Amino acid sequence: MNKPEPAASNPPDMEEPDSLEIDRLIALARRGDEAAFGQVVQVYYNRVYNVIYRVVNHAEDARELSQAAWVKAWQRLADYKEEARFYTWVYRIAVNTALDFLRRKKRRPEDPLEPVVRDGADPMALDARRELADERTPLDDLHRAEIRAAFDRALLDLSPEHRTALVLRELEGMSYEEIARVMKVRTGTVMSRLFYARKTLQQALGKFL
Amino acid sequence: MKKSELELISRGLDGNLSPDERIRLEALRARDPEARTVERQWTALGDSLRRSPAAPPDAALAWQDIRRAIHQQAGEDEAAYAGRWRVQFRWAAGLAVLAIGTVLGLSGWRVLDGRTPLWVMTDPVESPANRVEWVIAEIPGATTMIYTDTETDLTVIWMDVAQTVDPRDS
Repeated sequence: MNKPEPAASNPPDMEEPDSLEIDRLIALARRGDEAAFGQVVQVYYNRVYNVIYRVVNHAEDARELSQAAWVKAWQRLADYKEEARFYTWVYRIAVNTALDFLRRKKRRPEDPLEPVVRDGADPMALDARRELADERTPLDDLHRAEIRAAFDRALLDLSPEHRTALVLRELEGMSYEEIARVMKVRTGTVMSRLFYARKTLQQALGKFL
Repeated sequence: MKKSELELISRGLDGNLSPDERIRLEALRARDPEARTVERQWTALGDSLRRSPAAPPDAALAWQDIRRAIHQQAGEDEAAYAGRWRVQFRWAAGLAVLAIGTVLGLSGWRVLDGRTPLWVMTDPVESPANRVEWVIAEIPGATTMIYTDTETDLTVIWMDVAQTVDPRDS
């Protein structure tokens, strides 16, 4: 059997920053240059935030966890090995921070995960409302909101590990190898997690698909 | 559908197929409408995930918060280090005071008990065990012997005076 070709690792619709410039900034940051680190943070912030948001499904938690992940990244810059891609390294920290948070949360049943679609502070709800503003009839609006809510609920019903694998693949366009590095698992595990996540979502959302 | 066929579709969506597997997937699509449906539905799931990203906070503002958190953390780390050092110092000081107190207490008890204090015993010159005194008993032909006098704690050495020289004579 021929070897599979590696999957595209650039996330869709996202501009990959100039890697030489990033390397230069990271080298400066490792020597303690906070401003250089700030520039790196601003390059990757949205991507890291979106991944964490999709894993924890809560805007305020995602903001706090993103912050915690970047603080850890600053503290551990000395451990970063330049042969790895910086964003893979940062994602590993971000994903671990998010998964640790969910594990801690699981141990506190009195503090369950937020409901998926809520009014007010949740940008998902705001985003949904913005999207809904273009719709034509209230019935269509309701239907779309229903689909969105069902999708979010189904996503949240996946285990954090399955959800993370799917988010890294679909949102970030990472290859199996990159996801395996971020999640510290074998590529076979990544493959099976993606398969299981898709199958489970399909079963949960069958009537909408 | 077989699990292996579903896995093939999943890996196909991820662009993770060998040329042989791609041909197999093409054949599967051509002959099985269910495979086409599954592939379309899974593609739609991925699209949904990408189409509904969260609205992240402004990155520049977020960096200001991160910077503050880094400084705050550094301050807390420093305070924690100083705190740990202070605790260790307090323990060491406490143990030293305890040790000194123990020695002084035991010595005081020995003085009150009419015995040589511990701190004197540790002096190699002043300690009775090391003090040498000559007592000439004028017993010619005495047998050489060594013993510890229980009353004075002195080590007594009996010797034949004819065989030795009193150091006070030299």
